[in-house]
Amino acid sequence: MEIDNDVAMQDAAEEPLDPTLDEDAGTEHQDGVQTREGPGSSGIADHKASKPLQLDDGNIGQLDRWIEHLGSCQVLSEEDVGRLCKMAVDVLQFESNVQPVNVPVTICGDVHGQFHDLMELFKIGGPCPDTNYLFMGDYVDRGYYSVETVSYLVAMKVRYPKRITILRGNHESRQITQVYGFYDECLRKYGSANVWKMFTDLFDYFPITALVDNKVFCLHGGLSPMIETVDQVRELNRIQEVPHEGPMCDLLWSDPDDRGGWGISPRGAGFTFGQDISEQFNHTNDLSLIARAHQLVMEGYAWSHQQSVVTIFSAPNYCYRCGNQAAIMEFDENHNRQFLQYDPSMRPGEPTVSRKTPDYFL
Amino acid sequence: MSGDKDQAQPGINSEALKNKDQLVVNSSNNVNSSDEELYPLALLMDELKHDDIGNRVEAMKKLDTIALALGPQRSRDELVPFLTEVAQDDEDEVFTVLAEQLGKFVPFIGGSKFATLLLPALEILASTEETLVREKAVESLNHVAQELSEDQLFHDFIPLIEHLATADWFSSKVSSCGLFKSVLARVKDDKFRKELLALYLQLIQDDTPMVRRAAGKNLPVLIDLLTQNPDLSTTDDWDYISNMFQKIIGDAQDSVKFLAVDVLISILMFFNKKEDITHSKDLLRSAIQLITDESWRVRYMAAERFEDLASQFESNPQYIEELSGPFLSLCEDNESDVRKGVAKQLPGFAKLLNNPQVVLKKVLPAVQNLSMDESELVRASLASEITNLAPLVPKQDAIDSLIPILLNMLKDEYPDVRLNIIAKLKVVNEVVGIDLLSESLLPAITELAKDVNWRVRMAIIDYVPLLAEQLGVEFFDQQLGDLCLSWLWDTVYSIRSAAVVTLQSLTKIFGSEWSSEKIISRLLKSDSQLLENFVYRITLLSALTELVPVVSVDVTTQKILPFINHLADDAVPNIRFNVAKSYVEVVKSLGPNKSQYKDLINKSIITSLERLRDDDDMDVRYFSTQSLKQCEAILT
Amino acid sequence: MDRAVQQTDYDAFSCKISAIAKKYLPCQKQLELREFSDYPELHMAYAQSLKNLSRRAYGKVQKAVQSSMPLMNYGTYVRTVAVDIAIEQYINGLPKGSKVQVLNLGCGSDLRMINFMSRYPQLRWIDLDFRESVHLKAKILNSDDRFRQRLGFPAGDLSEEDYVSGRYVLHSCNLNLIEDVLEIIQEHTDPDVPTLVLTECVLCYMKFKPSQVLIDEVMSLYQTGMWLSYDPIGGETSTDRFGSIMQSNLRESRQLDLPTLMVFNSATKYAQRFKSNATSTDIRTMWQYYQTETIPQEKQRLKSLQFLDEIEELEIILSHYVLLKAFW
Repeated sequence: MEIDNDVAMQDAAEEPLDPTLDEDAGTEHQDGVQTREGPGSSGIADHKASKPLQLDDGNIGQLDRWIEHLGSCQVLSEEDVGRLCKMAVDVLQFESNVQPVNVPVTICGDVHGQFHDLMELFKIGGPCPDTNYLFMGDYVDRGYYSVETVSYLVAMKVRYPKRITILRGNHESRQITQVYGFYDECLRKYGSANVWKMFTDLFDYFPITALVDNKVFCLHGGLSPMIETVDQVRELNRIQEVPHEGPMCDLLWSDPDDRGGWGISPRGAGFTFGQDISEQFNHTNDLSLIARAHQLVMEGYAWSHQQSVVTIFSAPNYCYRCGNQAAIMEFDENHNRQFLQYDPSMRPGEPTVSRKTPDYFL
Repeated sequence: MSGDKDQAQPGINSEALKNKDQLVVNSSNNVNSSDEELYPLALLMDELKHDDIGNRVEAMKKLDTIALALGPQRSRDELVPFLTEVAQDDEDEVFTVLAEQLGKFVPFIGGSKFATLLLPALEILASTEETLVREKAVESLNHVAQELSEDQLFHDFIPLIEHLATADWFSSKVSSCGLFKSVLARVKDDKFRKELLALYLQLIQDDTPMVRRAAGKNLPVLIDLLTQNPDLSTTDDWDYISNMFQKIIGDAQDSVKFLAVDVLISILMFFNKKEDITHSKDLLRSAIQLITDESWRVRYMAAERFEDLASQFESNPQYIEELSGPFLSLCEDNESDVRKGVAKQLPGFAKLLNNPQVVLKKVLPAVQNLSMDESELVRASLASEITNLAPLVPKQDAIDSLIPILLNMLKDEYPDVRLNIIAKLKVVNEVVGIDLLSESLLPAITELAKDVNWRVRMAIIDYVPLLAEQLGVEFFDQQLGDLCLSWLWDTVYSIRSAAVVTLQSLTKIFGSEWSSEKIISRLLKSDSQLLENFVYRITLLSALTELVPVVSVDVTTQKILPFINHLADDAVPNIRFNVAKSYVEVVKSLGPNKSQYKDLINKSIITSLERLRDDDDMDVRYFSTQSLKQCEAILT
Repeated sequence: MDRAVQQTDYDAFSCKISAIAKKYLPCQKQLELREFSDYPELHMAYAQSLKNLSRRAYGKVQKAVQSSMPLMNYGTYVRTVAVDIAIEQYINGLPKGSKVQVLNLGCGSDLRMINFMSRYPQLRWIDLDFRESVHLKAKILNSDDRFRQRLGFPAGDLSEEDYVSGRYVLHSCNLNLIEDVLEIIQEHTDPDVPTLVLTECVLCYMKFKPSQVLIDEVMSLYQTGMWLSYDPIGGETSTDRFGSIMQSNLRESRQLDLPTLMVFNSATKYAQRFKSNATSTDIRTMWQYYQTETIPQEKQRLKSLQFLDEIEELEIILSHYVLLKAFW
């Protein structure tokens, strides 16, 4: 086994920017650095319940109002995000590292803050709770509506815990969101990093894998050389920031590859794994399929390893410039699979001045 | 700002702003010395020097709050001068918000008496290069102008226009073109108005095409103002306007010249209002000149506006007749964009011709050609209006000549052509009845119903109830029934959902008995293999539930309710909680005769709901509890 | 239009500053060279001066440094290093000590000349761009003794119009007007000296005709040389939507046109523009370049700077950019 263990990741994002460029940054930035420390500092998990959240008419009414508000692509107030995250902790902390999911279920990949395309997804796949959903992570970063997207999905999760499962992606992490946009978006929309702190603290509680009817193993990235059985995943301590290495990191970062065995990932974390690895894993654990997301695929879904692994990607025209289709996979009670592909939603006219141009080299 | 003031209020004078570092010190001093009064402004200034543009934009958006906190006096003395400074160095996003805010600022600075204080900042913004900023600034200037007295207009606003119009930089001149409309009709003095028009004529002849374009674009607005005030303008004024029109129509740049079409329409409207026909002939000649211009952009504009333009000559049938030749040549234009523009104008112009024989002889052949145009956009454009020709020709001619064209268009390979025809079939139906079309209609609908793009499929589903109404039940049953049911099994949820709604609409049209026989019975016999998939069971449940309010109580109790009951034991919880919801619909429909159905409600529905209330699944429990409450409310 | 094109310079410069701040640039090899040792400082000094002259431009730099997307940093690294290496290879391939001149058309805020002129004493460098861009650049270069000294200017005041030293020329010029271009370059360069012409995201903003005239006229003016051009290509397969989306994105939000993006939509077609005058051409996409030319140690170093969670996207984007070398 070839392991790429000689690269130490520099925490570039936590370094102050080059001093020459930063000399007169305001106090806000220092605040930012301070607040970026310390998982749990948001306080959303300070008073965890000892049993799962009980829904009653009061909180159901509130959740329904939030969902309606979020459904029109408007953010909740900071206080409401706090309330929502506290409730979500009391739902998610009781889920398993390998969350069992029943059929039928519709399995979805990366969304990345493309809120309008998430609404399109529901138009294609049907509304929740009538349709059951399993999202395999990466709700935030890159798109312009990460806050709305993750708030919406979390609110749905709290309201309908049995109808929707939300796994953790590698972007549901403090470090990555500081690089890829969620942190900045929270600052922009709320004027402080509090909402970012609450959500990233909440991300620690997201389950990292799911097992659909004991047959389909779902996760964001892929396999880990340190994990041979599903039971080993159950033994991990997942309630933490995504580590830079180790099994939990790999599950969120790895990719299938045409080359056999384990390989170095070009991403700087996780591994690549070959068909031999996937087949062995499926055989050992009596699985029919590994469903994962994480990689942009032009058709929205792509098979690899002779149908041992499927990649699902649910952000059409990713980053508003890639030109790809998106897809979701319906998995029915008889284990039939149906892929539904779709294109970007027709976006309501946003004023030009607030619309950012996607990055190009100019 | 005076030196005295600098000392009295450190940190908010314009000099200090130029030195940002100094500003920080000063403003924070103010806060520290608990100078509460100054706080909002200091805060704003702090935010406006923030390196992150997002903060600056946000700060700008809060200007009204800050002005309110400061009060009119200090807003005038401190805030407005400060903003005038800001207008000189920042990024466009900030400028855009500032320009917008200033348009609403008059009330905050003490009313219209002081409104001219806002002009300097807006003038600077109206001179920036970024179009969006300029447009906002012009809009706001026009807002402010409405608040100004005639005196203020003369002393401040008109000089501002003159200043912008004679600036070196094209962006200022472009902005000035948008401001004349605020003053032209308010200037009662003939000499002044003439001067304004003279200035505008300069803009019309500017060296920069962008300025000429802006001037040309705004000219119709100015002429329309004169039309609204028909006694205001003098012959001198009209000499200027005529001169401007001649300049535009003779412009070397197509992108300026094509604006002459709208100018001409406005001029014609003025003379029509005055009932002055002395210029009609000349203007007709201008119209024909534009329609036959060598530049396709000009012809395109003439084509797009043809009905508007021609209708100005409506009072003289001979003129309309003279326009028909040029009109038909547009229909055969080499440029597809021109044909696309004129294709929409056919029924409008045919109506002006006011002669069925001419329409038949001249217009219909053009329609025939356009319906086979090589460009799909031309055909789609034609399809969007063409059915409106039907009432303009004798019925038999419509049948013999127009219908065959429509039938062919229903077979067009491009979905939009077919959709556009189908969307406007109503008018054809009213004239000749739809039977003649139905045979070609079907393949068209079937094709659209299978289109790979789900939004095309969606569009056709939406037309089905309309078609059903026109085609009648017999035809529908024979030809469209299967199709409508097949949409329920589409892979895309939105299509299934639209199909469910359509079934309800159809039932409203054809009645409960029909629905029971042709829809419900067939649904209940759905392929069992299909129903192994939960997606189709839930669709079926939803379709039947949707029909409950529109079918007879008997159909509900005998056919629909048993099916719902049967799904109450479904293995999938999503089905079970939808069953719980469906029961409410059934109880609602039985409600008026609740005594008669008491047994049924209690034995079958309430019992079932009570069982579901103890379900293993929390959502089933929740929704059945809700349903029980609702049922109780209906029954008591 | 010109203004929209001019603004792209701030994009390029912002990307470069971001890549420097995150230590992507300079590459390891340059880091070890004495003449490149102040590469980061020079760029940062330039950015600071920019702040005093144009808030608009500086705002962009600030934003780029703050967001600093790994993908953009990678792409900027590959682009910058590929051009640097090509320049170096060209100069090193000439007889030792041979005179050589670089013509940087549409130079923008590129500061390459400073380090290269230090490294190669025999090198002359001519920077051309729009009047406004040149004006700004001259102001900044003038304002700091570090720049002046390296570029061969005496300390003290210099007039802004006249930015010409023994070895460096910065001149305003509209590349669409070939007569102007020829007049300026004939005045400042020697047709017999080997000449490297650099166009980095320049040809893509020009209309077909003027760009072809520029290529043909400039190539035929010099005895021998190499044209080095970096540009986007639209993509040629029918399912490839990258180019059309790029065109509409830039047109809508930046009023920026890419008239030939879909014309020269593949590497092969892009190279065709140079074929009639060139003895040989070499073109590859930046993705090919990254895969084949970037040495493993550098890949490893880059990986340690930021997580690159967008490898597929990087492939898509870099596959739509090319670096062309045409020799004559």
